Amino acid sequence: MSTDEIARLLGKAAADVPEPRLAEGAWARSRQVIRRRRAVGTGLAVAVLLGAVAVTVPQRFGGAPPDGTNPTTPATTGTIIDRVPATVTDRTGVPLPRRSGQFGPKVETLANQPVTRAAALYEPAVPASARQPGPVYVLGEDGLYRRIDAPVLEFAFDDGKQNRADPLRPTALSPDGKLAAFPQVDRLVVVNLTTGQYGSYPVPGFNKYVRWQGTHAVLVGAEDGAAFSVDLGTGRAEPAQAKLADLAGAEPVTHVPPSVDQSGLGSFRIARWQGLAWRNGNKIVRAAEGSLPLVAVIDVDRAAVVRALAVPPGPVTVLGWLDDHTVLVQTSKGVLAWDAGSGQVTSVATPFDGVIARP
Amino acid sequence: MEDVPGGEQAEFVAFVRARQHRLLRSAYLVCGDHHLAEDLLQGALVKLALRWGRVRGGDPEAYLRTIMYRDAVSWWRRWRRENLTSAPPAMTGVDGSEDASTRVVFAEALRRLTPRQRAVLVLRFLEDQTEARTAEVLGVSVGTVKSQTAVALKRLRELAPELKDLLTVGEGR
Repeated sequence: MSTDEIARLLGKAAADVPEPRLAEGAWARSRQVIRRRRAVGTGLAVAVLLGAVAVTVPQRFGGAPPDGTNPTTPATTGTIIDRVPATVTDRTGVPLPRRSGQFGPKVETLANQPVTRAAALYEPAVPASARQPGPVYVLGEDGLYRRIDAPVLEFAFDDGKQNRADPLRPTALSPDGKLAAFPQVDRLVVVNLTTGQYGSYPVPGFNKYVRWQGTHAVLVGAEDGAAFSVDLGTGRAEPAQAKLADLAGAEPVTHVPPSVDQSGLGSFRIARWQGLAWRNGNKIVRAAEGSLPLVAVIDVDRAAVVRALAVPPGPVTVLGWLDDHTVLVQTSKGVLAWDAGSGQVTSVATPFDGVIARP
Repeated sequence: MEDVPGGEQAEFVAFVRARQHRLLRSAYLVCGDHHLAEDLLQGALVKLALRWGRVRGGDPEAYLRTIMYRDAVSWWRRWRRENLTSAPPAMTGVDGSEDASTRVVFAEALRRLTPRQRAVLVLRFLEDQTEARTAEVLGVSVGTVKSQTAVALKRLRELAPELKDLLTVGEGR
């Protein structure tokens, strides 16, 4: 049989694809993009001009130079930097643990009382000297906690045993809230929260991160090493093409560090991105370290920071998008909901000492 | 002025209309999903339209093909495909004949290849591109194209042993 046979099979496999009508739409879309770019360019020029005037005028009249670190509207590209107000109003209705700490032996085990769907997972922090991590609790949609009693989960260490990572990652819970994935050295453990049963999948490496790909596969890997994609159906782990630390919502974020445009941040500078990024349409949110700890929203199309939240000093973990425009952030002031559209910040939970995961 | 039909726009529309069906079929074979394939092609066409003034005097088809295939095999596309498609590519009009059965078996086996392997097969055998041209489109070496072709055909034979005879040749191409 000739290679024509393969061409014929390929042709037949795509024979039912109808003829599209894409030409006019693509052209129109390209003109929109061009117009938007021009508008941004014009806006930039106006902003620069206004900035120049703003600098010149006060000096001419002996006034103080404008504060270039204005946290709300840096002049260059209109990036807005929000701040956490001194008093934050409570936001109810977000299913998250309301208090931290271990809950004692009275908490039912997951095996005895599985959930139909988990609202969140929680692993309380333990002292730095502890050899074993704290228990992982499952918060069911009924508002009750369960304790995962099996398997025994270990800390993940890097090669030199210098850095310790908790087995629970903020990305551990599957999108449907029914499975939990735990990266372990040389394996991935997946617990079925609806039955309490678990499976162990061989994955080489000092695994530290997990990322769900739908509900049937998990990306797992170390911070700087290549990631593996584990098919939960076959148990097969195959090398993934991207590093897990660069993924947002299981999609590669090629424009996040170091090429993202942060000129709109004014005097704020991002020195290093922290943790995993979370994608929502063409927006990505990720925590960052720099002159201030920030949570930054990046427009993927523009590869630019478009809005940021200056958070209080201390550990910062982005817990994902609550809805299309609201980001959940775990900070030293508790779990905050930041509306990246209006800038409003509300309090979802009091300060937590530990790791939280949401679907 | 740029929105006035005629001139560049008319030229672009004519160019796309002559190729969009074939390209969509190729995109579909690589993605395994109708909607994603259209999304993929539409994205590539917008990029082409943005550079039409500069590209039209050269080889716009090569430019378009490169964009589309590279996007198709990029990691996030693969993720979306795998999450959007839990079944083999939709097969309408299957009549239960031997030919239809072969088609279903082949489509199912094809779906289990990696996006890059599918792209190599489509470029080499459906679009009749040379190994060198395929390598250029995908941004890989000729050696990679050769090895991916061999691996893809071997994998297809494993996944669809009933098609072994149909898939035996082709590696030497």
